[in-house]
Amino acid sequence: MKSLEITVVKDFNPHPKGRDEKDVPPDGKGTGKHFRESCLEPAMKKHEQVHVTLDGYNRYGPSFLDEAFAGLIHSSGIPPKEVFNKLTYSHSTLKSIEDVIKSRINSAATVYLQKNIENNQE
Amino acid sequence: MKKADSAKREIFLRLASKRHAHEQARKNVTYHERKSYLPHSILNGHLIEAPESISIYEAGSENTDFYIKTLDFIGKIEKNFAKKICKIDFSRTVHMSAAAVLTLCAAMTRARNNGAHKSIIIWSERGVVNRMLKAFKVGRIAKNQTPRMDVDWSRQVQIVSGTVVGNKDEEVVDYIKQKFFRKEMSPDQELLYSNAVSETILNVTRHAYPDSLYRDKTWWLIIEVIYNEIYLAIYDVGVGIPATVVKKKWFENTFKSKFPTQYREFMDKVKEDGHSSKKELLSSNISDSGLVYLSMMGDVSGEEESNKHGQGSKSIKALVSNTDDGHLWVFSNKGLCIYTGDETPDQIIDLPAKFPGTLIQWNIKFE
Repeated sequence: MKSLEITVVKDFNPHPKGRDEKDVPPDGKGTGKHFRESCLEPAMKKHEQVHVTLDGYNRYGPSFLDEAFAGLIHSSGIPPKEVFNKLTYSHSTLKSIEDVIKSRINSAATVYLQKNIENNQE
Repeated sequence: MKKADSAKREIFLRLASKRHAHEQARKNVTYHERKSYLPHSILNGHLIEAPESISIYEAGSENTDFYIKTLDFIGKIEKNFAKKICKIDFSRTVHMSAAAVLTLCAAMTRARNNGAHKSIIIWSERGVVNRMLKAFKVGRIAKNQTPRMDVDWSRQVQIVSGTVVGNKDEEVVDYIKQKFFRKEMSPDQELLYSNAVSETILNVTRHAYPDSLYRDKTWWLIIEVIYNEIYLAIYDVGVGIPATVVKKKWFENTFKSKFPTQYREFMDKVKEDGHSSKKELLSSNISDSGLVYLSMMGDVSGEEESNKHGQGSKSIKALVSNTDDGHLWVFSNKGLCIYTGDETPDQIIDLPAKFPGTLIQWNIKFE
């Protein structure tokens, strides 16, 4: 299938928060890691384009956003190129959230590329 | 008619005689207005006198008496409350700060978990002090009850307590949104307040209690509104920032950046001492106040791994720096750091007595 839109508050959890099960014990339900593993990664595997809509909630924490989006690179090991090509996201009233996601993904990509360079040099 | 008058007179004399006998019998007896119906055991309970001013803000001033006396009082509560019958005497107390109330509330609720003895409260003569005490239901805690500390929409002062379980942080932001912004909070404001509250609470559950089960990782929060300012403080009785900050991956870089001279001296010591770990040496060579300050700096290198964290303090600083005369106070163990904006240097203060746990307080002005 070509493209998929995920609305976080409808398709995942109305009050997403935290990074992982340490923040929301015992099972990490509603966290960034849970979102990435249960929604985002499967979508990225099956579809050419994935758009994440963050509307409907204004309290996304930086921990959630980092683990959900940048975690595709730093935790799931998906190459940055694939993430940049496939993934888009939006929040119609909070552009600052889009900026945070962009910044976190870029940082994760930088570290990924640096590690690759170091590994190649070895 | 004469017979009726005589009967009335007889009754009158009988009653007067009885009254006189009763007065004579009560001549040397002392009565206590409030305590007359209390059990003897409580009347003779262990007396804990609260100081005139229950406040910790003076820790950074020349006169630290209020701070020391407040901590001493809280220490007595921790040691005695609920373990024995106590009389907690607030009669001399004329002032109580929000932050100190939080530490007192935590001390009493924790002590209550370890004992079942009832206590009595001798209330202050100041209504403002009693209102603060009633906000955290001190009377009920004294009576061996464990009242729920949820958001109470009827109160001006909110004291809320929770653990990592549940959504109380959301309720706090809802309260701020509805009570102070009257539902006219912009999405950006909502995000900022939410990050400041939620990320700080998440930090408590992540770092403050490394050896505890998640349901025991308790935090206490107070919100008070004075005119157009919100005073908000979050408190935990965990291991303290100085114990945890040295373990962060970004710590050494920040230490090197902010205190280059001390960092060079530290590295010389590391070379001399081959036995201790670097982290142990870091803890013993930097004061608690320095460690608290560095924790507020967070990562200064911009490296990815370390940049994931430290968002709570960034959000709070953003709120404080946008407020005229805004302050952020961070008490932890023997350190205090006060932030008033990026334009002025932080105050780094060695506390005269160890503060139990970590308290973060900030004030924000709103329109």
